Amino acid sequence: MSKETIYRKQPGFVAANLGEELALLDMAHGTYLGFNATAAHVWRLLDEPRTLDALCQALMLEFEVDAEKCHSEVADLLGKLVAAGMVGTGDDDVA
Amino acid sequence: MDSSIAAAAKDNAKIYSHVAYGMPFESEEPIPGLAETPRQENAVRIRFGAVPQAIENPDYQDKTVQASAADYLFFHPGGWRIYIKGDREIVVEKPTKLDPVRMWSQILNIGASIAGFRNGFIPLHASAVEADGGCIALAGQSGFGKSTLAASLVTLGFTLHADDLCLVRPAVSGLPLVGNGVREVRLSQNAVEALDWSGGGNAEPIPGTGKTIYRVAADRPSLLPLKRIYVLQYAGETKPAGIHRLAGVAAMQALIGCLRLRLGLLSVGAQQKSFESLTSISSAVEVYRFVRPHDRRQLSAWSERLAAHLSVQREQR
Repeated sequence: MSKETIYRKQPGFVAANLGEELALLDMAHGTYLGFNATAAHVWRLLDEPRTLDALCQALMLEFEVDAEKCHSEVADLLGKLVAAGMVGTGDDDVA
Repeated sequence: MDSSIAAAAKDNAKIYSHVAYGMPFESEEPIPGLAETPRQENAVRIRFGAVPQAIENPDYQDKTVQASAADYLFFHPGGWRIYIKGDREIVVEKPTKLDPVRMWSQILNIGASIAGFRNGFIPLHASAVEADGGCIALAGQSGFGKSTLAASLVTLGFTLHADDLCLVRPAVSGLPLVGNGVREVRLSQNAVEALDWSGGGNAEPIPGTGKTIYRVAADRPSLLPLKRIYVLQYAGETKPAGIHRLAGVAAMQALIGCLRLRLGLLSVGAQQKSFESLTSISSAVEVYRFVRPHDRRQLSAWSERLAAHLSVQREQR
């Protein structure tokens, strides 16, 4: 993925807040997913399509984390979400 | 008798109205252990008659269940079947060998679980006692001592609210509600001896199970707010005994593990409604994991510890 890659949520998932955490229903498969507080925050930030840089800037405003670690961990999470079909990628329409 | 007269005669047959687990039922036969109530609209109708051999194109099936969004067919190991159509009709192929107590237990548990689930309620495998102006549920799959622990709390002065099934109805705001079941608890002889249980009411052996039904109380509020859920587990080398609060995803996972429902049914029919009900209950109710020794000699001490936990938590609020 390039720096300009834009990540956006895919349709077909219903979310419910469980405190700071999040439960998701995958409507296509009828399966439930649980997100910890960090993953839940990234999911909520993806209400607007964003690049990895934009996601990390937003996260670093709220959490004390250095940029390198943030990029590494969020990139890893996004990779899993893309592989699971929950997040799609593109290079335009950034908010 | 021609068919129109037969139909008229059937229409005039006595119908028995009851409420179990907070749901109104109407039946061609009286349901043992439940008082008759005034007729209610939207009652779930129980009748005895012919049941389909199978459901066409089921969305879920295993050895004993076939289900689609509208139909549910249960194959009892004893060779009889329960068919639930939509959320209002239960048809039972009457067993020839099973005693009425076990038959009605199966009909009510399965009927209330499935019909309730289709109405947006969550069927928890749990017993419940009244506490703190509401009720607390003792949840866990078979073999985790729900009934025995509930009976132990009864000996400490708590009132039984439900045994083996709690049908939890989410509220728009505030705590969800749980309706009482039949006021009875099923105990093995070992549990009776461990509890020094005197019965407190009618005792009726259940043939072939080694258990006895004890009817323990009546005339109490039907719908109570669900204050807490204690998920029951036994202690082990990696699982120390104690009472631990669960929150967030862990609380919801624990509840899903206690459903009185095949997990595959969560994706059949109104899956979004079920998801919203489960998340609503997980958020609104305090959920605890109650891990205790698998040793009946310690039952009394751990029941008192649970009672003390209820008392302490109430004072802290």
